[in-house]
Amino acid sequence: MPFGKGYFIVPSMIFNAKKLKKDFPILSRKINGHPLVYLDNAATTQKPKAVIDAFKNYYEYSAANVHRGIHTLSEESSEQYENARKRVAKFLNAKSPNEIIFTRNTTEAINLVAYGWGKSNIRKDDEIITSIIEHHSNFIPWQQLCKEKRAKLKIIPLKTGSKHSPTIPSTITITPNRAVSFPLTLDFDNLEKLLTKKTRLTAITGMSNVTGEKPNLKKIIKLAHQNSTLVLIDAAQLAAHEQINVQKLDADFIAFSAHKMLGPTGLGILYAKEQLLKEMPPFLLGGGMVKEVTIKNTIFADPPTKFEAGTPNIAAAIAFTKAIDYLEKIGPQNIAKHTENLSQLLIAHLKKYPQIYLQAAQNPNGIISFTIKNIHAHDISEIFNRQGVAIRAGHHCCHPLMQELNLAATARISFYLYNTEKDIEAVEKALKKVLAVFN
Amino acid sequence: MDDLYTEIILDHFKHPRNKGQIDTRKIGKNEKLLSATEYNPTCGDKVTIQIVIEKSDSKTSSLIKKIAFIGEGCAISQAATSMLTEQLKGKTLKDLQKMENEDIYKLLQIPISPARVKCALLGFIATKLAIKT
Repeated sequence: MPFGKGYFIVPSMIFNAKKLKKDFPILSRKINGHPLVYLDNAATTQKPKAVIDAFKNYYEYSAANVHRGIHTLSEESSEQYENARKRVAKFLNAKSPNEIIFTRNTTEAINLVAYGWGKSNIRKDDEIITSIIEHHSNFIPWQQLCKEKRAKLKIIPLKTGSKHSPTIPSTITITPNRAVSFPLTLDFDNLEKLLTKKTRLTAITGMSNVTGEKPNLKKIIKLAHQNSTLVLIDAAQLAAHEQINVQKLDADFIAFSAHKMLGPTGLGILYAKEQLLKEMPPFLLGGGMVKEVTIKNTIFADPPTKFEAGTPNIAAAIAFTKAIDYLEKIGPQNIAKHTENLSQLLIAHLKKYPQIYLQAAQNPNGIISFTIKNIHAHDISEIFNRQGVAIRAGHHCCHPLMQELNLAATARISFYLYNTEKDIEAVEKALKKVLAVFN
Repeated sequence: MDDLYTEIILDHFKHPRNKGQIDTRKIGKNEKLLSATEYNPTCGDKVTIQIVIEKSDSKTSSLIKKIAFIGEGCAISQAATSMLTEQLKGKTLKDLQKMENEDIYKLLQIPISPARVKCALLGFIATKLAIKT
């Protein structure tokens, strides 16, 4: 399918994304008279009918509170909820469903670790390592924990070098949108030096929601564990783009969200090694997470129940199993190849315009941020929206990274399994409009 | 989209009026500098307004002698701020105090969707903040 100058021959599509679009009711919507081209998947993904139906069916047929209330509906509900937990455990290849905790979202999952494990394990002068590209949800909890405990927060920087420096971009003069050259990657060369006797935790992203970088987690975890340092992975983006095998990965904590991988909103997952969960005090306190409560004291339940206070998002957990089914049918590794193909195709297009700057990793795996000289990201996304193309503009909850790159905001395109080359055509059309308006 | 990115908006965006830092050394004895910064958390835009007023016995009749802004932002926020500063030169604090959000929309003469309200009002909010001090 030719577009622009020259052909881009995409290797035989691993699956028929165009066909998959039909499974997603919302993708047949029109925006401002144009077919919706949804490219904001890093923010949230659309849901296949199977997930929507499961959600609906729960409320129409099996709705009741969990915790085994003896009556039929409660038994059904409890069983479905625990089956959902087992399903997630199997999906991740966890040793036991007891290692799976359902939360509200990734943010809550990470906070659970910061409060549960962090508060009782971090002391004055201890160290936590994180990176400059982290989402606020995997940055602020550690920053504040370190502040409270008078511990030290160490930050893995971006790679500098002859090609580019994060604070003094090599390519461009001072303009409202300072250019930063591509590719952007974290500098792990000094990780061994950063790990000291005092380093208790490394909290790192599995995949950047701005640049799409996937750090070499196996290597990081190996180094950290050699140093007796625990590792937490913010897998909010990673879980949607890769099959996570917790035995192979050996991370201590992994947090991700259902809604970023075809599931409903309001459901997060924390995987953690059972031993850690047994030792950790709980985060949220209340009903459902106790063995016994007296006036003076409370005996908490075992994990995972210990970490699930209150009524959980039962419908979402059940519906999420359908999302997992859908993903497994296609194969997460195929989805990763698909989004990487689309990324490379998009980058090839964007590179034609000298006034477009990329803030992306070499292999962005489906997430590409960009800026245009003298045109604000907000205006880019406004004009894109007029063409029915949904992209995100802003700082993507990564203030430290934006400050490091000297940028106020970027535009971001993020692909998922239902995007096609036609969507990239729509991007190019919208881009031409943007450049025409601000010529 | 021409109803949003009109010629006037684009002109003010590409050639913003009164953009720059006021030289604080050049403020006269009977003048006062007011300043404030406002952020738009959704996109990271930031605008700082500086107003030089002539001191007077009646606070509200103080004349706005100089007004300038610095900061980065989208076409709507930059144009709105540029237009606002043009409007306010030579007016009094009272005139500014009487201004409402509606007046900004009237200045811009373009439809502002809920998503762009903060863009349109960023400079105005900073200006109102500045005179509070």
